[in-house]
Amino acid sequence: MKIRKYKNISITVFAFIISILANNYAQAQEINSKDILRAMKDELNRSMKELKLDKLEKPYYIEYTIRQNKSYNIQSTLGDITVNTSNDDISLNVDVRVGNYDLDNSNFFDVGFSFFGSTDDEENYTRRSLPDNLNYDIIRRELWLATDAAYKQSSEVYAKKIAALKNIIRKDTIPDFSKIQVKKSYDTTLAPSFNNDKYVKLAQDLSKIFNNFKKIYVSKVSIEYIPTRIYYVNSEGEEYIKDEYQTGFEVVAFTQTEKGIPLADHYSAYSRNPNLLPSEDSLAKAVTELATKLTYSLNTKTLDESYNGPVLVEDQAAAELFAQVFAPNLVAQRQPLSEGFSIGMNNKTMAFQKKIGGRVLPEFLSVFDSPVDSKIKGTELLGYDKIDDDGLSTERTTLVENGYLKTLLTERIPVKRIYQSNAHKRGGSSMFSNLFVFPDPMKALSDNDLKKKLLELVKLRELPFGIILRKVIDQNILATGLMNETFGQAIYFNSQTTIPVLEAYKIYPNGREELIRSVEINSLSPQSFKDIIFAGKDNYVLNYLAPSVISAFMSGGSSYVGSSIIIPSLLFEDMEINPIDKDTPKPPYIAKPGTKK
Amino acid sequence: MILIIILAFILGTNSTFAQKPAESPFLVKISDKEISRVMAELKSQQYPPYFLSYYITDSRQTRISSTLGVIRNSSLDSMRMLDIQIRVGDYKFDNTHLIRGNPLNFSSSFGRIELPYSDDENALTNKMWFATDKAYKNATERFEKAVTNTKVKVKEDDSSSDFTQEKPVKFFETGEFHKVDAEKFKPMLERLSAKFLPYKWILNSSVSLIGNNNRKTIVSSEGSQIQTYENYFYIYVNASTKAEDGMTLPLYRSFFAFTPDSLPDEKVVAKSIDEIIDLLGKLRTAPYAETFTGPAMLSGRASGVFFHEIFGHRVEGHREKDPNSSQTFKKSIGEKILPEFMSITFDPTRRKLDNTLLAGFYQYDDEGIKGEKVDVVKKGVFSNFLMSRTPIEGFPNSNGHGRKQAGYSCVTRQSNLIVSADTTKSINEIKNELRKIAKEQGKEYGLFFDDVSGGFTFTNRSIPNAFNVTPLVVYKVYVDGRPDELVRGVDLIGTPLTTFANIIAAGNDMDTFNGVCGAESGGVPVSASSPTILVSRIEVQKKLKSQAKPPILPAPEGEKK
Repeated sequence: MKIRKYKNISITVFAFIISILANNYAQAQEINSKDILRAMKDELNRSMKELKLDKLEKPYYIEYTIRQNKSYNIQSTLGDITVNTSNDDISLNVDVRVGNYDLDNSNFFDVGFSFFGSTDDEENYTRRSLPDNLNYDIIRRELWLATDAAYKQSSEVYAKKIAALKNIIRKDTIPDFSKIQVKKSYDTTLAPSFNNDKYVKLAQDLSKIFNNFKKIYVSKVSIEYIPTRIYYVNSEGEEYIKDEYQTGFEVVAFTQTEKGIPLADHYSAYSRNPNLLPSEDSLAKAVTELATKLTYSLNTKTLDESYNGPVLVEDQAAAELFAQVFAPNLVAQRQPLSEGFSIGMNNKTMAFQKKIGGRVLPEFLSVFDSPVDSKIKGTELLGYDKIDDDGLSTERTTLVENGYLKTLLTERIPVKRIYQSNAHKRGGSSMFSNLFVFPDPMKALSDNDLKKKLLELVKLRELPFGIILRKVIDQNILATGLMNETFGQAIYFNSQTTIPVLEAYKIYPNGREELIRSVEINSLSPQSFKDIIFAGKDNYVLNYLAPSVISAFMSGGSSYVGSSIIIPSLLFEDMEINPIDKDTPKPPYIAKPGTKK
Repeated sequence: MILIIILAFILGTNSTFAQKPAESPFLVKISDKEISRVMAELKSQQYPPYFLSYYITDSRQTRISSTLGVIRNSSLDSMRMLDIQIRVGDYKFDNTHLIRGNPLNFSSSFGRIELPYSDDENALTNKMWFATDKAYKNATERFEKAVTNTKVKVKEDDSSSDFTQEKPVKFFETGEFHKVDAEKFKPMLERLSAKFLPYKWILNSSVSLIGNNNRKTIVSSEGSQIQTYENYFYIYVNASTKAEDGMTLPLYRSFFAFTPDSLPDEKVVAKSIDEIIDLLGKLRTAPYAETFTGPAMLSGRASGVFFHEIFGHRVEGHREKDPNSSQTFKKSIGEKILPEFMSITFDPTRRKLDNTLLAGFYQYDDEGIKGEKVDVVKKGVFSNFLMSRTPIEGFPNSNGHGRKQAGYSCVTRQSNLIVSADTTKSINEIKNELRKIAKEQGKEYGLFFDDVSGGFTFTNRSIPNAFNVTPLVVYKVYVDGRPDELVRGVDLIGTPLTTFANIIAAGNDMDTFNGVCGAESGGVPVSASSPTILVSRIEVQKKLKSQAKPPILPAPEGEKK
């Protein structure tokens, strides 16, 4: 999925055309959608008017979200299907706020409710699963029960928060919830149909390729398609309907060297529309290439010792490192008040919370987030979103300009210095969408020139070779694909402080490249990105399922959100690459069927 | 009771059961080939396995659920799962030997392994191989731990072997997967669930069809080759409301069958829903029962569950091996534990009792042993344990009660529990005796447990050995002859031996509770049948009560049509 340099203007125009088409498609499902919205609004109005417990405040804000999901999941190994399912799921989420915009029940972590829920089951039904066959009466009824539960819980949390505030001097005095300009949006399109049989055959055909690679122990091809329609209304008058869909194609493979060292690799391609996945031929090519490389790497060597020096990070590796280490810090996070103690935030993603105005990248690099871009030269972007979860129109947000941090990505929860949402509520909390990293053209080099620069630095540092990284493990695929298939033996790759590399090369002064295996990057921090000295001219597009920065546990939203990173190759002045030096599981005692020990 | 017999009659007429040995099925052939290969390859290892078995479950699960006249969800899931049992050491002492003193004393099972669907030998054996290798590594590691554990701990009370020696069996059942006709059942479920629509105070309700088709293939290195079908279908009605004091009041009804076509007629379920609605209405305003000790009668269903919990789980043989288990009946062989007129049998070979189908029917258990009828209590005297292939002292062989759900390790489990009585009384006589005893004890009333949802028990020594049966419908039967009064809010509790000693009479009826029992080897279908029984003294405690108020607003008005 490597593409040449893009032009922003053409992208914007293209996205506009898509949105016009999308509005035309919307007609088909309108009657049903209208009824759903009407039921939501009728119950919302009744609740706002009448819902009140004696001597307690009425809700000042209510919002309803209904998500209609369909999910298809196909998995195959060695030409034979192991999973072929499709599921319908409709969920309802109710948010009730008690108090006012300045001070309400939110931004407060109730330890008991959060970890265990209410001991009275019916009070936990603020998120309910709805029947597949919806009608007006059913929606009203489900909303009635969910709103009742949400109001009771919010009232209690609000009282606890007020009580907790009486005993502390709170530093955080900004409002709990920001106001918005109300509007109605409908971003609907007919979700592309999914020809299940076609994809079953595709999964079978592609997984069959591994039959030719006897040294690979375990392999799996999976295809997933999840179209979703979302209905939203709130008591401010905001409403929207939007369609989202997401297609994933993943391949994992695993083997061990004679000494037991685990070797794994993965390939993934994501698009929104299943018909826009790469062609069968190019997928087959990618699978064959993966299997060939993995087999080949059984005979490669790792580093003899730790490497400290310049590293050229190309393609997927550049995008993946940016995604894992740098990007999560671009999301604004507000530390909620809690009962009795302060709850720990994810410190790995908090580096830039107080850094607005400071330098976070070299001065020749800038970053913007652009949910409005749907494609780059034929490649769909997974982070495309015309309206965010709050119903706000999305737009491009400049995050880093010439190395300096301008702002962070926010939703309607204000944070210090950013009181208004920049429409980045995705998957239930603030999150990036399509992150574009681009260099000052004067500083951008061709691939060849980047290698030359790397070798110059190698020579200066009197090193015998330099290192190029081309592929880094995707944490989501490791957790959901590799670990399952290998009964946890791939845990060898997982580490808190290091990042395992799947494809690394030594590059010698004469330009010869040599594939090495089993290495990891040590101590790469968001600050390390200031040490980038050059960037490439071309861009790589990584579509991936990004782990939510604010955990799903806290937000009640999704654990992973489809996002994209568009980034050139990066030359780091200094990076530490180590050979992986851990205990390894023994190779199998029993020979693989059809082979001899 | 009448309802169930009529229903069972309808069920009974339709069920057929093909039983014809066939040629080795494909899965048996490739499993056997792979097992032989693995056993040969591991022969030269330090700890070669002495036993290896593959247990493959081909499962087709149908779930259709409907609420208030619409389909809530509908799914058909197909899966093929592999469970591996590999043993190193020997029958006397192997890697499954209990490791004493370890808080994490898990067996070597590591969850279900999904196998490819179609019969592609290459894809299947590759999955089997990789998982077997991992299972073998786990087994050798655990074996060494077990060997050391016996050296550092005191001598065990039970010196029996770890695995019974049994004759290999070959049996291939010509069964089939029964397809649920969703187009037929969906409208029926919708019509049935719509019956709850007018009753706004019923806060949750659903009518569901649950279908399980499992084809089990068991192949072992001892030479056993078995393929059987375990098919069972339920229509399940569930509704609940809340009393003004916050108490949640649920009621359930289930209808069991071995094929979807023999599930009950819509009218039968509809009648049952009418009864539920009526009863829920009464329960809402029924008085709150107080804690009580005194006499009680238990309906056949309630008594079935009562025996399943307080007795059944304590005669599962493998528990006698664990020094932490309460071992209630370990030394009771030949002793009188129940009144002389009572006997208890577990009989997996029965598909029916009178005209009622029994969910705990099977031909071979999950260790490939033929299911046997076991008389556990004969005329009040304890005479046998339920046994799997985990032997205990004095019981060196399985009697076909090793059971599990796919993905779990097998242990001894119950099948069809049948309580019978030689001398019985009519229900009226029992009720009169209940009044009499209550009067003698100076009570105003005795209790009648008419229906229960299930129960649970503890069999471990670290916590008191209590049981809890959760009643749904309880009546006060007054000594002065006033009409019985429906009450709510109590659980039946007690300890097993004391309660047994208090059973004094049995009715001339018989009722069956079909359900799924959950324990360490997963959920397995079981039944419990019993006559009504009279107990001279039981204890009830207050039920856990929700503190949530009923909804603040009334239910929304339906759309004006």
